[in-house]
Amino acid sequence: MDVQLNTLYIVTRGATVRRDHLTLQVVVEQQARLTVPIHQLESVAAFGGVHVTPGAMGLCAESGVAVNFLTESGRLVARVDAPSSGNVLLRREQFRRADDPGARGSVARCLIAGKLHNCRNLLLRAGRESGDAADQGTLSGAAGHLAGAIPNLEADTDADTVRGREGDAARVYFAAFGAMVRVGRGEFTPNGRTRRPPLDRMNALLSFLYALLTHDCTAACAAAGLDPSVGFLHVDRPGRPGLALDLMEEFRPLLADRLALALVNRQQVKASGFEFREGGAVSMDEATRKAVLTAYQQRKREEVTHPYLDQKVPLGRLPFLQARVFARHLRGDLPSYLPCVLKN
Amino acid sequence: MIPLPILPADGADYPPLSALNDLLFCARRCFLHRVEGVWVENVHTTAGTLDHRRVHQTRDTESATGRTARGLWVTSHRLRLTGVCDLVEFRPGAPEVPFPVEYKRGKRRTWDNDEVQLCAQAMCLEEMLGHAIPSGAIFHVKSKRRREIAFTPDLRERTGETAERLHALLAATTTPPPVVHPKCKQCSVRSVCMPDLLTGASAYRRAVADLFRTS
Repeated sequence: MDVQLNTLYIVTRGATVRRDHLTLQVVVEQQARLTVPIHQLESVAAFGGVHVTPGAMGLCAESGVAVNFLTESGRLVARVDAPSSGNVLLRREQFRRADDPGARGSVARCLIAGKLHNCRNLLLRAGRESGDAADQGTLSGAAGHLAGAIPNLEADTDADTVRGREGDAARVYFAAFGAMVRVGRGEFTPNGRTRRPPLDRMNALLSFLYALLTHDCTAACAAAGLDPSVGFLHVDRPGRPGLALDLMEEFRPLLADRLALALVNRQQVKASGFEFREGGAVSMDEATRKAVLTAYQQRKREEVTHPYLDQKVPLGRLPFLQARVFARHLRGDLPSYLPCVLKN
Repeated sequence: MIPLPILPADGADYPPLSALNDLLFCARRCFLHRVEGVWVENVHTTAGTLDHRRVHQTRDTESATGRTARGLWVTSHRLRLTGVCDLVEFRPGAPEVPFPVEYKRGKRRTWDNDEVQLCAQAMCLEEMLGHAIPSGAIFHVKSKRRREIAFTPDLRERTGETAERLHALLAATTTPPPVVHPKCKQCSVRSVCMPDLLTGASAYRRAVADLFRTS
């Protein structure tokens, strides 16, 4: 069976991560706060002003654990990885396919079909749980729109067409998003999707969760021996983890959107935990970020039955499994990439 | 520690002797490990690494019953293989008779891949030293028992064939298809290999058919 591997997040400013034999030790104000055996880790995420000693980075590299340095809001700044990780044959095949418009289109339509299924299931679920007739109407209308878009993808042969359909679906989905907010609707209804900077609380929350998810999907691609930066749906751009973003599409509704809604609806995240800056940018305060990280880690531990691998897996393992399915598709073992669609 | 994909030793592009063992266990696993660079640690692999480190760390010794060498690097140009002998006893005589001993954790395997690996060590030593080696032993770390193996013509032939199969496998660019077998249960790379997904594909086929449908 798979070992339950995990990400070590360090958000405390001024913390130091150092090596202690075969463990990583997190030290804050000269006090050891946490010791984690290296073999339990898949990656390390250091947010903001966190020090990682060369010894700790060396241990991580030897063990195939990537160290990611991120800004406090979760943007990736730098990444320390082993000198040669993964498989050159696989990466070469990935580049070859990514250069082939036909292959790009057929992968892209599968990725987006998976995403739209998961978005639609989230809308349907929220509709069932809602007590308000107007909201139910909004949600089932949006779900119906996505249901209509999915079969059209099957005939799409180029990635641009898929991107167009995805854009339309995303607009409808985010327009209905507010109907899934049940508590604090005034403060937490998003005004469409805004980013760089997010202009409302819900978008600030989503952006942070997407950053965490990008981080996990990047680690998943690297762990499967793929190059996280060469995507099929997302075109190459320096500094952008194209393949990680591709892989992430199906997980946005499962691991980020649903969690954002739960945090707001259960009032685990309060309107007062957000800061408004000059120019309208919204960000979360440190306590809120910590609460979100804790909830995200908890959500990743929840077990689901993988629809076609037929095994119980924690949600946090899904990106890693799917990255391997993707690699198996590239190596010719599987006729198409099959995303993970969850009913609940 | 994660062993890196095996690099050619001293310039020669020869696979290691242990790859024979891998191949006899499972051709797909062997390809995933040696060509695709896939390696996943589990209890079995870590314990094996530690056992071997222990053997190799002990010094070479000399006594009345002969001298022993540990961690001896050997190569055969005929088999096109290279590797390390855990332990070789040089038994007194004129000339001395080398007696290779391979350390294996656990009990005797149900598939006899260890014998081929040991025989290949002996064939390397024969080629390097220029004299015949009639037998060697597999030392089972857990039971602390030695099992003596005679290098019969039959075993030698099997070893040569396995080496040929290995070279053909490593020269290929496509991964051998998975074979579902009870031994998959203890295989550390199972999660990457995904034998169940690729062979028992009914759930997969259903999911492919459903991907562009909505109910």
